[in-house]
Amino acid sequence: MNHRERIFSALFLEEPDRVPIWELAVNASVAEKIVGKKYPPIQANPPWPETFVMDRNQMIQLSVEGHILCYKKLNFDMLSVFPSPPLYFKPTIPKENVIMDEWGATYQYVPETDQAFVIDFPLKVPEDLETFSLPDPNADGRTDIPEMAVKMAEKEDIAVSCWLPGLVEFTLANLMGQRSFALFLYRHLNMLEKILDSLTVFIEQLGKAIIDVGVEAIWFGNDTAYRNGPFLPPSLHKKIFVSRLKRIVDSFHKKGVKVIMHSCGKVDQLIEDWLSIGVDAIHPFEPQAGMDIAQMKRSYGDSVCIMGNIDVSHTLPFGSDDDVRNDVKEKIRTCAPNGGYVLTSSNSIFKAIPIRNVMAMIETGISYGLYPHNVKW
Amino acid sequence: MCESKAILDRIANSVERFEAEKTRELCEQALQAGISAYNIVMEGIAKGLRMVGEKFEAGEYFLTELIMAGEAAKESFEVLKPHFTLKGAKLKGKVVIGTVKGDLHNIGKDIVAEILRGSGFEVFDLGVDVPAEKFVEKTKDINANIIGISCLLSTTLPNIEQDVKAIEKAGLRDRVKIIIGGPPTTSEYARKIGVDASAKSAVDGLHICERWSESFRSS
Repeated sequence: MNHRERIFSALFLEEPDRVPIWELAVNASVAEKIVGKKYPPIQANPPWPETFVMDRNQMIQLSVEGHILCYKKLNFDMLSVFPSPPLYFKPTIPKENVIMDEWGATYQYVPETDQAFVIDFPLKVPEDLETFSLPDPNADGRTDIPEMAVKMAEKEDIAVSCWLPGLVEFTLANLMGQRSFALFLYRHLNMLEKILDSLTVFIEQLGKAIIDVGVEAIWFGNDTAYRNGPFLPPSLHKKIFVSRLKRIVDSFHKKGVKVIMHSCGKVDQLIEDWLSIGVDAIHPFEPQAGMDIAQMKRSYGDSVCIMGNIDVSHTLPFGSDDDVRNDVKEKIRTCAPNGGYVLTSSNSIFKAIPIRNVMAMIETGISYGLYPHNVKW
Repeated sequence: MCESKAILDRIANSVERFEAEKTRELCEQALQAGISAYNIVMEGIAKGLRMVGEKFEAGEYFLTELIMAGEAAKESFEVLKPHFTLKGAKLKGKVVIGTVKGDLHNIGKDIVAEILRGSGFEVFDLGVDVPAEKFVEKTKDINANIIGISCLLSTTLPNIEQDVKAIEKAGLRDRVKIIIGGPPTTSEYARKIGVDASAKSAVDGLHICERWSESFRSS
């Protein structure tokens, strides 16, 4: 099987030739070591300030080329790209390492961790709605990166997935922040619902445009839980978010793509909701949040593809390569039988994870993940 | 006395149901009835937050509800602040709190700060991306009993150890308790780097600090 066939076989809950491997992101500095040269990060959220000093077409070309090379070297079966910043967008850079995106969220980049954090939100109080307007989902340029990735990946027989904002996470973590989200939820629900309606339309339209350029899987960055449980009561998740999420997922399914739901944290109380909206895969079952992927496979493996769980909190960054190998073997032993399983970390590959552990994860996946599944160890 | 207890219970219940406006009104009523601001916090608001904490630990309440209860507590402090004197009253302890250097996450840290404040601790929030010397400086400055360090990223976890070393180097270690919290922190790691406790949740953190506060108050 080629990469594309392998990952789609798992997404269709079938057994491929071996367990597919994927990551939703590889940190730029890790990718640089893997590829052997620096390239502009593929992530567009937040848009990286340094990428705006380059010629846009050159930036996109280098970014996609580098990303494909990195994913090929790592033997991943699917790319993970992001919509590109639209042509009209010129970032506001108030000071070094700080950037405001087109939604009005301000990010601070921390060189030490090579990560960016939202430090100011556009919707903190109801009055902010007076000046807030959603960007145009169909603005020129948003699909440039996915389109280029699709063209270049075709030659490699590698599938292309694309990130889209998850309704819960984007509202909570990019537009409002935890405190304001709670205040809107309990004190200004009508306003929150209006925002969610507009955001639903935005995600649906952007997704359709991305699918139209050839992307075959969408993954929602939709953190809805933290280590101890969902951010909000499951009853409110069901009441406020489920119908809107379903509308988005249905519209993507009509266009024939697979939908992956990503949420960190302890998500067991949300899984039934995600199954009810018809997601095809769930990622990443964070072990530090007590998510038992083997149990998830037993309970839901017949209805949804299971992805993830190789621990990014301890095993991958701080464990030995043998610890990583043992973790991967255990996950393959419990989750690979009957297919519908993709090997990934419990989040993404970030700066603190040594390359030898990334390689140990992948090599073990390749050696021990062969089908028909034979438990020999 | 019974009337006082009834008002304080109603305050606790309104915090538990995160009814901010009602909590504020009841605090005003309690002040008018001659109950001290200190007792309103300790026997009304803090009791309500404890009830919220129990429901949170039992999985009946969720993070948004914890935030809203903290909000109700915080907003009622505005009513109580002008009446708050420490005469004859002793707070549970002084806490310096912040997110470790290199990490800009504030959610968990903010919730812990609110809950501790609402439960009768004096809290000094240093914000996010806090360098070790800031923890040291503030701890010396206010003679803190507890230092709370929050960390979300595995990448920044080793920076907690640097904080502990700086606190030791400044000669403060034997007079301050250190508590850490956040996804990559564990009791094992806490022991390894010489930290007194690792909190599994905001409420767990409160319980640990409350246990310690007994010794601060008796000393």
